[in-house]
Amino acid sequence: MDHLDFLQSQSIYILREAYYAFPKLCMLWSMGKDSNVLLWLTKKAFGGEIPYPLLHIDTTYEFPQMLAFRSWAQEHYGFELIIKINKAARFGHAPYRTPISYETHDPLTVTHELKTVALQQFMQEHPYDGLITGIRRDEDATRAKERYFSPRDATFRWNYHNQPPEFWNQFVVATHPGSHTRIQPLLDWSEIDIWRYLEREKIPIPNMYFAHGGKRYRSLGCSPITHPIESEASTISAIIEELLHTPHSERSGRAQDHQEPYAMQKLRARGFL
Amino acid sequence: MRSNFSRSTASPLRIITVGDVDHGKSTLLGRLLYDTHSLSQEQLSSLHLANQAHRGAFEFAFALDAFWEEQSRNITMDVTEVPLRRSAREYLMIDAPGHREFLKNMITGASRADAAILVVSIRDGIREQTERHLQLLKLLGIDQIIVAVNKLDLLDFSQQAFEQTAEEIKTLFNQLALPYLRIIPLAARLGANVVTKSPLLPWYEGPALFPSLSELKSPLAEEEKPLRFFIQDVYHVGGEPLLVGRVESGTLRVDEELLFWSQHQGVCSQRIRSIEEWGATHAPLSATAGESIAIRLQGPLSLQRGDLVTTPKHPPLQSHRLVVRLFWFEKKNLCLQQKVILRLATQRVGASVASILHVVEGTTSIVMKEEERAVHQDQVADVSFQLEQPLFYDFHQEIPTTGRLLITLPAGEEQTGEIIAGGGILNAPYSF
Ligand SMILES: Nc1nc2c(ncn2[C@@H]2O[C@H](COP(=O)(O)OP(=O)(O)O)[C@@H](O)[C@H]2O)c(=O)[nH]1
Repeated sequence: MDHLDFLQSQSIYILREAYYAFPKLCMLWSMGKDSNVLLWLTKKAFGGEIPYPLLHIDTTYEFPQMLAFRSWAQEHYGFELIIKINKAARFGHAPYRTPISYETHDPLTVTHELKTVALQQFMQEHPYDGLITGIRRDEDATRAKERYFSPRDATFRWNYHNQPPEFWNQFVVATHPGSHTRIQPLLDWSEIDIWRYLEREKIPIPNMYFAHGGKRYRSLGCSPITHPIESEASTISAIIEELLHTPHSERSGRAQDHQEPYAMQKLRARGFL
Repeated sequence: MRSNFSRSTASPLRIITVGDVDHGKSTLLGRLLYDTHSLSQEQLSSLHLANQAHRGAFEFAFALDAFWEEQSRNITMDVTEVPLRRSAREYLMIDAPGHREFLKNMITGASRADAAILVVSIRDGIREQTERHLQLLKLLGIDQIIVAVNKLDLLDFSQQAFEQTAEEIKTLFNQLALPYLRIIPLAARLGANVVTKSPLLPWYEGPALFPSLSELKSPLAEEEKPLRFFIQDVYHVGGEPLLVGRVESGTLRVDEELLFWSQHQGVCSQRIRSIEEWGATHAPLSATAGESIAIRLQGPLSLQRGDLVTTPKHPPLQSHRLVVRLFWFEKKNLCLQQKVILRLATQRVGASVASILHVVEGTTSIVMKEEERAVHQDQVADVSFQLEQPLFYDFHQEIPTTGRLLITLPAGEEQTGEIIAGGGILNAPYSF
């Protein structure tokens, strides 16, 4: 087994444990590279089937290329896709007094309302008790402290003061009323592992990750606050080569992470991915 | 006790720092990351920003202790993992909390480590928590340990003071029957002997810490051990049942005659027709320890989660009674007759505490009076359990992945209870 095989086996094991443990399971899918690895691992775990719906939290600030990829993938894989938008926030309906937008609000607020609150609304409307996410430890310092199965109470708070122990691949399933469990099968993967796996398995991804006219996107989020990096890397092997030498973090182009000190901790403590 | 669930030998080596609180674990790691240029520009600027807000000496620890509660109290609360980038070999450094209240987090981190760096401050020497961490490493099977004697600047880089502490450390390792690779004098905050050798410690002849990491070995593959494949689930995809699970140890081969052990139906002999892999160009003919696979059988056989596949030559043990060396991290004591759930691979069974043989305290074992027998928080003890149903298992010394189990509180039907302990199954006369 090489390292990618090891990561793949571990993630498949986690997905199968989740499928066994949670009667109502769904998987977040944002069309990005990690989401597409998750989708691929799902097919491997379940004999080519996708046994749970995919959930896209649509902020309405999606890049058009990403929306095109979304339609293409839905057709190509034939999965069940749920699209959730926090419409009340976008249009300023109650309880919001004014529409929430990047033109009028700071990135931390918009991200919280259009992503976390949208997800919260969805979880209240639907009785899902397991939510598969594609976060990785190497994305930022608070994610580095995450568990594979992470319990969240009804208010969505991440109780990072007192996380359950987790070892030897035995996972705890929280079932308090209103609570859910985040299942995070990609925690052990690094950004470079993701790219090596995408390359090895030939997994389709949006082409915004590849350089066009001297720029490419390293991480993809809302269009007004996601910035491309200078890059000539137009193939996966060129991207891997670039990552081996870059002095920058993966999410350096994501404004909400850097608005203020501990920005990610604050966002994530309230239920952000 | 070998801990590692089968890992790829090509995976980055995972190294955990352990030791008492304030002995300098996070500083040492922060310094290692800093001096090997493993931090990104963004991480560097957060490190400097966090330090501007903080009075006192520059804290390299803030590179790891990312929560503001951690930075304001200058502690590590939960385990974190950071890659050490600029080296030929890849390392993942795991920083674990030293505080007693966070011991379960330390175990969470240590359970995935291949090696450890024990940090001992020269001013405080060996503390209770130092001993406890070493004992847990032993229980978790981590036997590659480098000792970093830290803060030599506080004692004028004295060789004599170092040698005295080193002697005490050697004695402790001897008592615990644990090997150590090296004992290195250093000053983490100053970066002395961390990545390069320091002129402040001219009398020390060995290598600095970072180069000595190359002496650590990658985990051994468990492919040569007897086959243990626990059924994780049964899917109904493409007609006949598809059995999924992970090979815990050994090698599973298509067409080979195998034994299928079921809690309900006893044992049956059967062959595997195929190992199915979605998207693979040709179907694999074998699978080794660590692989998550899906199989179809040659003939019909009704199986379920928790059933076990072995070769006829190496059957599992099966019993109603087990003796486990466990570490207990629940606040409430473990008492005689107490009901718990045991989880071993994908098996789950109710059990009660039949007897508490003895508690291991530091380097000695204590046998208590029958009526006083209880295991307190953070103690290590040998406990015998009476099971409601027999369990398939191995002795920990023989097959670690199927010779260890986790203990939870009882809970409802689907719900799983909190994890309160973990341990390895002992064979008579109950020693490691
Ligand atoms: N004088 C001195 N202080 C140090 C050294 N290494 C760490 N410290 C200090 O010891 C304190 C505890 O360090 P920290 O890394 O947080 O310890 P941890 O609890 O073991 O992770 C901090 O204030 C550090 O600055 C050293 O080599 N010399």
